[in-house]
Amino acid sequence: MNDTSRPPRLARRLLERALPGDAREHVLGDLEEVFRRDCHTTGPVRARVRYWVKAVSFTTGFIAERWCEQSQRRSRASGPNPTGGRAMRFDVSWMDVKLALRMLIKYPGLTFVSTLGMAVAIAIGATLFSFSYSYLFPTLPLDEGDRIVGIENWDSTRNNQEHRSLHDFGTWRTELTSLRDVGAFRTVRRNLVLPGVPTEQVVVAEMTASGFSLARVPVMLGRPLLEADERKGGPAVVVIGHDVWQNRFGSSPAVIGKSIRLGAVEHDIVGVMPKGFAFPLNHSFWGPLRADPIDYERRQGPEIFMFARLAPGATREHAQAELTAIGLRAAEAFPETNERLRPLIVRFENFWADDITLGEVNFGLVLVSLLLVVVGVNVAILVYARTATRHGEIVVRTALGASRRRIVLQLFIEALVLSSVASVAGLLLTTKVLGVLDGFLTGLSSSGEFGGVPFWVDHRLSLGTMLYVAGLAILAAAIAGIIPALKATGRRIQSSLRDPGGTNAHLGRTWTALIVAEVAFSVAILPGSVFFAWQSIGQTASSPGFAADRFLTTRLLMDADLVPSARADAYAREFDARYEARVTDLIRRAASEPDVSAVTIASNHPGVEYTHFVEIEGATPSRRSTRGRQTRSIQVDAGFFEAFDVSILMGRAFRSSELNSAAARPRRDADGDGIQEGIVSSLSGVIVNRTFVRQFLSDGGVLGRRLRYVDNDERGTAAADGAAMRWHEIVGVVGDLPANPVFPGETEARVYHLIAPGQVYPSTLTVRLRSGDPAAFGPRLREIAVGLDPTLRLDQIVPLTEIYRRQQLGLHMGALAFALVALSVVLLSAAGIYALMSFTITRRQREIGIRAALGAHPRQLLASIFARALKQLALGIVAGVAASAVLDRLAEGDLMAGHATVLLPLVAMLMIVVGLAAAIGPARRGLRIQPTEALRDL
Amino acid sequence: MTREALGEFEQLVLLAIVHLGDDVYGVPIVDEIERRTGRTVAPAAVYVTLRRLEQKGLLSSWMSDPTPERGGKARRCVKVTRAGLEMLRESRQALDQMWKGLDPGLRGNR
Repeated sequence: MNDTSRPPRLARRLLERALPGDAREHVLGDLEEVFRRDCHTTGPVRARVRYWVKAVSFTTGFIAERWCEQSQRRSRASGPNPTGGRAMRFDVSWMDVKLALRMLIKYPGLTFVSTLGMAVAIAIGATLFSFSYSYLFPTLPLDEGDRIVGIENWDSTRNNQEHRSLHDFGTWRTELTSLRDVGAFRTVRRNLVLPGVPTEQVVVAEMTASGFSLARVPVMLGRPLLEADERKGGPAVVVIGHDVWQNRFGSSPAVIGKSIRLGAVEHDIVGVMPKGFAFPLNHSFWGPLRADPIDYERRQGPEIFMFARLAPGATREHAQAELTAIGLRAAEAFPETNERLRPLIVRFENFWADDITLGEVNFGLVLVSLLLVVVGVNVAILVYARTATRHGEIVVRTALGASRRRIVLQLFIEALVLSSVASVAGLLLTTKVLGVLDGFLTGLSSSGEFGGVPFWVDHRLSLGTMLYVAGLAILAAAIAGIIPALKATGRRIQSSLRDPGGTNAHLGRTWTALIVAEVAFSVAILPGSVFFAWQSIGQTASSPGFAADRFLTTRLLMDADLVPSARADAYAREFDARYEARVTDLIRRAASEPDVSAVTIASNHPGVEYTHFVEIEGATPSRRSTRGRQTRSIQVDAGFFEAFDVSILMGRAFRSSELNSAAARPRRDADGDGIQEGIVSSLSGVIVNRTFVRQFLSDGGVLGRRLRYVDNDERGTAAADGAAMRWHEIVGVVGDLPANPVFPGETEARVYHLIAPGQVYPSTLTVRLRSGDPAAFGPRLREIAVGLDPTLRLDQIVPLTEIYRRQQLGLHMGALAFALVALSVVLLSAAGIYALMSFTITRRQREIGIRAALGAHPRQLLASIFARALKQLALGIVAGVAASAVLDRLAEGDLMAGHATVLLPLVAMLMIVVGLAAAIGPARRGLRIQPTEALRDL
Repeated sequence: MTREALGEFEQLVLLAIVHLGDDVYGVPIVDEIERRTGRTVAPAAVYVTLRRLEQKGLLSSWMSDPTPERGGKARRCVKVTRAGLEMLRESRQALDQMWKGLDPGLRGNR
């Protein structure tokens, strides 16, 4: 992603902003020259590090220079300064910043721990902020983008949107006056077939012509879609995007009038849109939406997404009122279909990320900010412990006339410099995370309903994110700087003036409470964090346990026409028969290829199956769940286990002859694009995996035992379908696929059902290759499929390893984030406890010295010190264990999953070790104080 | 009141420019100071000093043509002005006066 021959982009940007205009060009040029020289002599990595160091140095250097110039100007303007000191006249001077930087270097441990803690918290906040505002709440980059809205029909019975709203859409389109350019679209995928070019699957927006007038972006060539194009039976036309025009037609101006084949239909190209246009989501092909409400019953027909632009002068409230009135009329006229439908004006982005409100995102941001507050409090404790050691300095400065405000300001600047360093580190981390997240979402959404991330998403760091981070930095500095400063410069400072070298800062309940709270907090949250991080690592460290790199996999889809309600059933039957025939043909053709050693069909990718709950006949009910036992379930063809080299451990494999072609078939999505999962199989026998036996059938007896599905999940047809409620007999046991050799405990239970090829829509086809890169076989497989039927589409044709990689990417990110949070919490807590213990004992050094002078035995003294330390630690541990137990109970035991007896003592031990280690050093120093010295200072 | 005297670092920068001759810019100045003094110099400090010296009239500068190895950016070349040379001379004299009569052992063998 990074071009290593160029200086780091972020550093360059930083410099561009920080350098004065007259110095920018030559300094950047000089630094680039040095960077190239460094690349040559030391390599790109060191060169980049050096560039960063210089960027920071130049930024601070020139900012300081500017401050000095300004202060000189001001001092000249205000006449001679009676105190003679230049910086004394200003609240903030370069000297403060310089002192703060020195503090960072002088206390490297504190700097490292605080920076890490704050950077992680800031990175989490910045990522959430950046993601939320660029993906979910953007301003559409279109003319008056903030006046573009979405319209949806809310079904209050299902508590969900009703997208089959053609009839209502027809009414709104003609009757609404507060909305203009009311339009709709749906997304379909088609094979793009061009002569001499490999076929590829493309995403097409079937959209009303009003989409183009709403976007207010004129076509680059030809014409946009027109209302006349939406008429049934009209010529097939398509508008293409700039990228298609450039890549597929060599930017030829003669492209208008040429034809391309999308699936089985030839389309005439009538227009080309300019670069960057991807409305409504991320489309490069636009065809007319030809769906006439007359052809469908109400709440039937294709799923559509609706949009509009607020008319001049109209507000959302106007539009909503008008829409509600129309909705009420429809409810009266068609109570059986419309009574529970509520038409709503929503954000345009809703169809991409529905159900998320700005309030929820802001709540999330507040929660993340709270994490920073917790981190900030920890840092404040560290800073206070450090500030307390500078008590003498503060007292002397006060005596010399420095106001309390001045000293507080200086300590605030110190904290601000610390939090600024953490912010830079946090922002760097954020850019990395956003990059990974972007790749993850692109992969995820390209297989989703809309085929990619929306056109308005810009994952680079925005000015808003920078400002948010700046806000967080100030918040952190305020907590970590001002609170300790106010405490250190409080009323007692006056009394300290008599004894500037003394250490008579008041201790007692505050410090005890802080230590107890710190220990309790750590004990309460550490076990859960450690366990979760460990579990995430366990899940992601798995390898599938078989040669996944030999498999190529794809989902088999087929174009479905929009057919009127009256013909829907007949069409569905014809579609099913055609799909089954095509899948069977494809398997036969693929298996005859010389590179292919096996071809198999399943309802999902192995390892990525849906989760269900089963009841096992004669087994004691599950202790942890009343819904049954959780297992994954998949339908496979007879050759599945052989293709994956999975051995039969007990019983027998499926036999093709067992299939009954007249068996009940699973339900199918009406437009042929969605997924309908069913557990329906023509055979009542099932095969389970080794883990299923280990987890649920350890009481003996496997073959012949029966299970049935007891869940009623939304996707499955288990409980809804009478056939699925029947009992299934276990006829065999197979090895785990995929297994998890690294963490065997993470392998899941699986149930396999037998299906015939094409019996489930959509099916997953997996091809095992004899050798070489499986991805290389992809084009050939597509060629075979298109040769059989141009409407047969291979969706997501990727090596099986890629499926697993995408699966684990999210987990990897989660694990990384958790590990970082856990690490920073551990470090901060340990450092906080260390600092507090060390500080309190240091404060008692004189007392220890005096007691020694009065004849106390060192052993007695040590016992008293450690007894007090232990008491504080014990109090904290008890409170923490109690809190942790409550949290674990609230999470129904998921927080530590029964490992509390190991985790809690471990964390308690850690706290005791840290606390006592912190007490040892100062206690020994106290014992070494000569009694005469201790008495002299009195 | 007399003119503000040159600081040590300002002297180093001016002397480096004099050593290097014509068409001098930031990068070789940093290198020259490091080579002659044997200490690491923060480039930012040199550039800030160059600006300050120019504002004091001790340096003059002009922009060269942009070059591709610098990402298409121009150099700011500098030259010590007559006033700059004069200041250097004054500084030298002041230092010489201060050193005069001191024990040769303190002077060292540098």
